[in-house]
Amino acid sequence: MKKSCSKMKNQLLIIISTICIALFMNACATFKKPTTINEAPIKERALTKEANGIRASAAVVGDQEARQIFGIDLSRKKIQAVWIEIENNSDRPIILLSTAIDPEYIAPLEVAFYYHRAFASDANAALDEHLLNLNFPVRSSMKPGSRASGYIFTNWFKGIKVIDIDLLGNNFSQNFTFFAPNPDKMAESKAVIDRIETMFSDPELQKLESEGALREVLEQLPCCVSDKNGKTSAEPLNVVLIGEIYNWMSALVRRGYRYQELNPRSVFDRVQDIHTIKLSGGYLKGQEIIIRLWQTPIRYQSMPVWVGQTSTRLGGRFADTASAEVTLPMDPHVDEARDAFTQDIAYSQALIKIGYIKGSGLAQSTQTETSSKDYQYTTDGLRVVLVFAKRPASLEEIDFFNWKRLDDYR
Amino acid sequence: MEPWKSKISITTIFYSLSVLVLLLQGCATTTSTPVDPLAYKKRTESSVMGELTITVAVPTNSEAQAIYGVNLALKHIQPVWLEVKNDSNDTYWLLSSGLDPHYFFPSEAAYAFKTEVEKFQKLEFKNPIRPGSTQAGFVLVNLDEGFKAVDIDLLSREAVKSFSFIADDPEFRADYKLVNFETLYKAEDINNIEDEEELRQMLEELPRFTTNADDDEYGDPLNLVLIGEINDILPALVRRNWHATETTWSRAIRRTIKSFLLGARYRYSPISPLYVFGRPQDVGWQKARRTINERNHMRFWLSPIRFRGKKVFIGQISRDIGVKFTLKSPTISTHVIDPDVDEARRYFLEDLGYSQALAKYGFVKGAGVVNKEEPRVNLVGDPFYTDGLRVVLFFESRPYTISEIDYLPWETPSGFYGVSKQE
Repeated sequence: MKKSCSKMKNQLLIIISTICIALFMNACATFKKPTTINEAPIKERALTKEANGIRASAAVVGDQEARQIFGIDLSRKKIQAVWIEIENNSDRPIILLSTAIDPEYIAPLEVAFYYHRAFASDANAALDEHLLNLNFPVRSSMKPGSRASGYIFTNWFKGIKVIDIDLLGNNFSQNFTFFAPNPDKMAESKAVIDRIETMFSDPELQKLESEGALREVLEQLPCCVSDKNGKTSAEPLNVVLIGEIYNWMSALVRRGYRYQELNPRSVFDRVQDIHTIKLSGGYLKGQEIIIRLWQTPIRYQSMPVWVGQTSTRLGGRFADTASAEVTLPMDPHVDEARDAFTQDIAYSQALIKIGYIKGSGLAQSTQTETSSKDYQYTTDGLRVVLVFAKRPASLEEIDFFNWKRLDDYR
Repeated sequence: MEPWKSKISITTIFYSLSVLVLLLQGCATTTSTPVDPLAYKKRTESSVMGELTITVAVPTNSEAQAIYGVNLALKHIQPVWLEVKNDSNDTYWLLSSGLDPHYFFPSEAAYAFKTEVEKFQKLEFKNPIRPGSTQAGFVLVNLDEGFKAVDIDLLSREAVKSFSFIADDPEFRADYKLVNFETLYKAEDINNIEDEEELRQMLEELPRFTTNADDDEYGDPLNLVLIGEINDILPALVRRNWHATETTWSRAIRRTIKSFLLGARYRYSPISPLYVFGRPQDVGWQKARRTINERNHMRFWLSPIRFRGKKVFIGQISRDIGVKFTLKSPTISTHVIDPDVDEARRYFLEDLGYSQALAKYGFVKGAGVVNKEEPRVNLVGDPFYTDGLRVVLFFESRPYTISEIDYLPWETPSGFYGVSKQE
């Protein structure tokens, strides 16, 4: 008894001295407001678009830049700031919807609270003030003829950041979508976008107008991706996205997808052009769906046609944690991911049409493919075709292709 | 000696609370009586819209275990049973994402229990629902305790049909029953309003702050007004991943202490009761954020006002950004709210803007301006400041895109930081 008592005393001493050290260290690390803030490089590389008298600019703030501007290390808490400027030369007041930029965006005082220190109320208050002042002026509407700029705090992701800007007016909305390079990985990010934009020259394009012709061509696309050696046939190509990249990327971002590098797969002798993942950064785990996409030379009613592969990792949110780019072992029931993706994106207000066609050609289910166990799957063999538009569409407005019914293939 | 003394007392509190938690846990072990796996079918609710008939039931945790053979609740999974009878000429598809944007795939749930996927697949609700046919099965969603708000969106070539239900959990919490909104007020107490200006006036006269049970201390500002039928409002919240939540009491208190002290992972902590019209919130809702200590939460109360026949609810929203000790709550811990409460109000408006159920919004005077320099405190001593307005949200059953949302030019939020930065 005596022994355990002295043991407890010792433990208590250790706890107390740890607290003291922690308090001491705390005091050293309180916030100090940066004396100068240099926003010039951010404004310089900001991307700009204009429509209906509204001009929007956006840029991602690098981790180093963030230290200089905010006086705190945002990346430590996996936060990434985005700079936004809106110039409203339209005749209507508009507001910025921060939830479009990141459905899980972080409010300025929420950010500040992460960096608050014990016994440092003055420094804490200064930090609150500093972040509030730098925040985009979201509280009031932007009047005609006004300009507003500032930062929105989002969840940190490496590489390209797709910034979806939705502006809301009375009976009106305006969308701008940007592929903003990360200044810490500038060259890489730029290369991705340049590559997509210059991939096909006009004579290479296969232009289609009718639904029938589209279906025929889409059914002839390869069944599956292959691994990076181009040999093993792997995951099935089970989605087709039709529309400008900005329109479907905006739909994805609104539904919580983020640009995320994934392990390479190959179609048309090249690795995926775009990869994205739905991954909740929050306390609660959510659906984890990955998508790899390749641009095709097909243009349907002058909209680009992309083909992709969607799946989840075996176990989904219950899988052991591996880095986000690792996508194997795959859940063999690949149709679940395809169907979940389709249903989810129906709520994005950017989906206008759905259809199903023969895809990997496995008309009967429970047929397994390939030599590698990691790639085995079962599927009904269908490929979902989704068309996106810039104008927002409600659930009611979603149309269907006049193709045969889904079960005709079953 | 003083600081030393206070540290000992904290340690003492910690140990005694831990013991209390363990004790309380001891009381809560469940007895294993056999459960009828079909018992949930006695609690079905049905709704007819045109040629579609929907029937819904939510099995209790033990019924779910009897159905699936595993304790789904352990992984915070809950099955919702539904049956769709389609007497129309169109094929319908159920959008499971509407029921829960993060619903579980059968294979994912089976993996969580390292069990065969076939059983899960067999029980699953299967699309499509052909003309003249009936489909029935389960969708696996995130577990809500107490009651479950269910939104069912059915899509066809011609139309979209939305149904909503609130299913009670008979196993859970005898001390809390879901409020019946239809019988809450006597007919003679209802205040029917047709005119928008009159509505505005009535809304401005509603209570400004929540109170404590004794109605002698003021809490958070009442900064929300929701107008619509429960069937229009629920789908909006569910689609945007809001979850109805229990009020802090009994088991909930035990769990909160446990999660605070032991860092146990609970999906949601309950929210404490605040009072308006002399009663605690009719429903509390929350939306999880980055850590267990961060969440948006919202409470609402049905008011006696009816606008063009629709119900008018008054509500309060704030955002938790961390935790602190308090002696003012039976759970000894409470969340620290973002003092800038208007930020959470704005978030709510934006979030529901994407729900396709928001038709119109505007602002009216509410709590009144509380300056940042002289903040008020809520019932647990958290400071807050506000421009004093309430956002008024009008919900409709037909889907609205963000381009179709109307703005009522009543009050204009001035913003504490916004104005000066605009050029």
